[in-house]
Amino acid sequence: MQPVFVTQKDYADLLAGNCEDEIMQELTNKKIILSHDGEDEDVLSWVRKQVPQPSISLCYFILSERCNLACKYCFLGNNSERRKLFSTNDMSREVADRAIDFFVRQLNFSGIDFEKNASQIIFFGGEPLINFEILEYVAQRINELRSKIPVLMSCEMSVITNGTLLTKERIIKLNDLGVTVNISIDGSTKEANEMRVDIAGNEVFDRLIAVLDLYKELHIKPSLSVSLSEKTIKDLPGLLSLMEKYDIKGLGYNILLCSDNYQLPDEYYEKASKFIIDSFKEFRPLGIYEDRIMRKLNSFAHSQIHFSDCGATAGGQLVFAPDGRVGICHEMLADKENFVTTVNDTTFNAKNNPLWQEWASLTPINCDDCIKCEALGICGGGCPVNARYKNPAKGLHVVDERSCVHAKTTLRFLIEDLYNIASGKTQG
Amino acid sequence: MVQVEKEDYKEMYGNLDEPC
Repeated sequence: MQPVFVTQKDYADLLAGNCEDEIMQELTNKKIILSHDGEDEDVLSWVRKQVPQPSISLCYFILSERCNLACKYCFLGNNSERRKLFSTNDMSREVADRAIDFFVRQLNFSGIDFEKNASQIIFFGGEPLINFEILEYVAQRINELRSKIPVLMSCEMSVITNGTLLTKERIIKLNDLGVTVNISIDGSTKEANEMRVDIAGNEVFDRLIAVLDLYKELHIKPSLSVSLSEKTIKDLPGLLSLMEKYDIKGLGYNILLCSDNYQLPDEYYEKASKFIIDSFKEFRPLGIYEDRIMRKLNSFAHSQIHFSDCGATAGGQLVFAPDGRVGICHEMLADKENFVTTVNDTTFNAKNNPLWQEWASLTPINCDDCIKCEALGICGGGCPVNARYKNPAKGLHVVDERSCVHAKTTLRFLIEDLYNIASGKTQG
Repeated sequence: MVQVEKEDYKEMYGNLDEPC
């Protein structure tokens, strides 16, 4: 479906039943007016048949569950009593080798053409750089295997790090290995970063700026992972100045999650969504990519259904815990919920595993509560774990209200943006 | 009625190339 822009008079005529033929035809072509009874049901039935089945294309290597920080909004809960749930044993070389083998098997089962599509490895934690030796080992191993194993030919590797353990030597090594570095920083001031603290409660902002200075000195560009704290979304100019200073060309925004330790006001999601849109307006002329809104824009501009905004609910993701257990969602790391097998399981196939099939069905397209939503096509849903936290009775099969606000707000912006472009052209 | 062309959708990308 694509929007059709009519005048208020045309709209009044439409409601009165005497609409111009040209407009009527356009509204019918764009499926805004049904051409026959049952057309909506036909379309929905067809779209539901297109929901992708589990096909693994990415994995998380949890190199260490330990973290040297205790950020106040940590969605893993690695900042509280839950901290004792996390293992203190880091991933070994033996587990890493078996995890690579396990991942390759799933890539081969997936049916995806990895000569055209990139498989993806994300090094994660805890703080993954605590176990830098194994990160280096896995990255070297993947690079050695590229020419021998087709599904790894274009494998992309990235690390999500709090940045505090990056040194000049490590920055150069990661760059040489082809590992994209995403540094968690929430803005250009101490205030914007006040949620990011070490175990003793000390703020780490100054240490992050020192690391970014190292990157600048080495002429290497990191990406940023920006969690949208309540202070962050009040200071877009500050974030823009930080990005300009360090020549940042890519970043991802994280809309915060609620937990027992961290609650957010109801109006937060609306404000965060507006911040993402305001950022996009600034980034667009500069050629700076922000992941979250680009997924919505791609869906809108290409009339493609965005089935899932999450690797796990796309049925496309594996998570390797340091002890070799294999799960589907890294947010469940502390309790190891849904870690259902191990790297030693040579018979596992995600495509026919009930858990991966269930998660792949968690798209809003299959959710009856979402069917009448105007943003259904571009939404992709949110995080089932966050949704369950807000509404435990329904389990994982419940709407993540964060994604509702974000999707609807973004859709309104995209429609207005398209209108401004199209109408500006005719006026010009 | 405002006519929307394919080029209008492309323009939404600005200086961004088309395809945490």
